[in-house]
Amino acid sequence: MTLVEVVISMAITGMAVGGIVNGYHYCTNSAQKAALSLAANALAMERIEETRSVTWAPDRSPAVDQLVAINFTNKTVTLDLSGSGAVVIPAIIQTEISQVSVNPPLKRIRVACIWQYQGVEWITNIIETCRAPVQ
Amino acid sequence: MRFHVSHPRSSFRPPATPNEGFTLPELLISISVFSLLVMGIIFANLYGLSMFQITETTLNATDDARKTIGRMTDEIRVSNGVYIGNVQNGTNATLLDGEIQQGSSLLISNSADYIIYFVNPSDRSFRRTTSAPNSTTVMAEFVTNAVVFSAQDHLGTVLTNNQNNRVIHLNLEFYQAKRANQIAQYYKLETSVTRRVE
Repeated sequence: MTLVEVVISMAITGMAVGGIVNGYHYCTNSAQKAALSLAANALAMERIEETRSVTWAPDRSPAVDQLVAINFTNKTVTLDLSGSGAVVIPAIIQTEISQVSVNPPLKRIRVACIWQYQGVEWITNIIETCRAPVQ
Repeated sequence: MRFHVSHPRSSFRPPATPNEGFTLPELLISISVFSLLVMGIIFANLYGLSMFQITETTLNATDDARKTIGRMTDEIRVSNGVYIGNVQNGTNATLLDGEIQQGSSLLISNSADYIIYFVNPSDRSFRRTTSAPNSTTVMAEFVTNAVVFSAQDHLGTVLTNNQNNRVIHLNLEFYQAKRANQIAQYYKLETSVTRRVE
């Protein structure tokens, strides 16, 4: 067995082991990313529920409309997976509200939760819904 | 005519004969390489197993939490009214206007019956009960915080009155103890729900 053969066989072995370890590492990262995405989705859903709570009564006299973007400014939150503060990732909640129709009155609410995964990849979770005055 | 063909084999090793075996250095090197490969695979498997245990614990907790929260969310949305209170000595006392609207229980009232979600102070379990007798079920155990529910406005400020259009905020922190093949871990669940006002 020559030195070249030994080096090549060791390189192949190293690549095989490295591939297996990388596979596990990728799986773990994917699971963590999915969990963070779920957390971001839940936070966006919380903002949707907050927009449901405000009063929008165009039929009243005078009309009341709290469902406007100025009432829902950007908010910085944290995606805390475990609750123990071990993995905390900041996220920004953005809200857009637009009038879809005046008669019948209907507004579109779009909430985006923007966060960065491992300081590299920017990810945005978006939830959209429509709301009528009495809802 | 004769052709001379040069042999490509290395010059410091004689040509193999049919009866030649492996030399001791060859065996030692091949055993070392094989051992490295086996050790790498075993290490990778152990690492993957530990990661799987962490993920499995998290996913189990998330799955249970999603079921619990999903059910409670639906019940709040279709209810006639929601009232925050505290459970002490087996009795639920709802908060009055003027009091800070946060406590350990949530009463969801419908036309004829009610549902109460609460943290049982004696065993730190999160429970659900209804107006029907013997209907108490344990939804989660090892809850570490006492103040679970709060009523907020759309800005996230905790209210001091029982206004109609408010956001019910749930903040549940609990500890899942070590079980067979699963590690111990802390969890925190937060969600907000608004009743659909008619």
